[in-house]
Amino acid sequence: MRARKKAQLQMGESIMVLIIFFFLLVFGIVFYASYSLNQAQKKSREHKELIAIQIVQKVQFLPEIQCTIEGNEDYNCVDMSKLETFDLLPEGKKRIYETMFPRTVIDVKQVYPDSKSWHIYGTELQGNMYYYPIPVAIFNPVEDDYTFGVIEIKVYL
Amino acid sequence: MKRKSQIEIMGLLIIVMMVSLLLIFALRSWLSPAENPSERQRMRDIAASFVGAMLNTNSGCMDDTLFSKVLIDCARKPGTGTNGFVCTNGKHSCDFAHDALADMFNKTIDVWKYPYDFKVVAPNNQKINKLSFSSANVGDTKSNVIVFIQPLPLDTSGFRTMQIFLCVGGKCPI
Repeated sequence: MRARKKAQLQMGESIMVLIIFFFLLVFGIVFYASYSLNQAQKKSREHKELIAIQIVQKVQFLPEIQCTIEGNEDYNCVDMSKLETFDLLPEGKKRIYETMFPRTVIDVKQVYPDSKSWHIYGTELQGNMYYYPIPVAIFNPVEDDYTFGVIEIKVYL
Repeated sequence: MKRKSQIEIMGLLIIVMMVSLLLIFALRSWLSPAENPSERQRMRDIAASFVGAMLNTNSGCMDDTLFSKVLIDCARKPGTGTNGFVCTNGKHSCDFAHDALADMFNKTIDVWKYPYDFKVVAPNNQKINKLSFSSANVGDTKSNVIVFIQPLPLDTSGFRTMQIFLCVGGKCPI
């Protein structure tokens, strides 16, 4: 009778050990899976944002809109006369930018002293958008005048 | 009997160690702040480009007066209210710069909802109160702040300089 009770106790002990072991195992697997999923999502988002930053840098140094003073490129400045010409380009002519700026919308807005805006490229889309504003000086070569504005870049990821 | 209990204690210790390791690993990954390098890059770009573009802008104070000249004039005699420039609208350089900067911030970084702190420091560490701006959401955080500093010479010798601080993401550490 006593041996049977001892065996039952030992069996209960083994079962408890197994339960705790499987609980730890399941906890570990769930934790690792969620951690891996998080990491994968983070990597994917970072990769997309990296592509967006590459597009932004291409826009910042785009000769089609950048200021040139006596042949030298002026960083952080866009030329108003180039913006106005770019704005007039028919959409068909802008197709060459499709590979350079995929799923991208580029606008330039003058905010000081008065407000004005130019649509440079792209059409609004649905989905997650990466918004990247860059303050710039806008050069008016006719009046030799600089105003303050923003290049607004929206990349749809 | 004694040996069996020793083995059991060792087993228990191993389990406790494994669970502790797992918990430390889990806590570390949950508690560590999520760094977003692209967000920091964006804040850095905004700070540097804002100051660079603002200084190159024609102020409108007088014909052909860049904003940098208005700020330099304000920093030469801050606080006196009788600076060299009197703009075409009758305002002194510091007042003119205050209004123009407020307009620029309202239409840009305020709209983008980034916390920011803007300060102009004249020689002898004299902060120009009229040219201090910060967003409502700036808080008190001084860590993880992008600090952009632009020095400007106040005279041709270059010994006297003013400094423009634009901090994005929190308060300037000055």
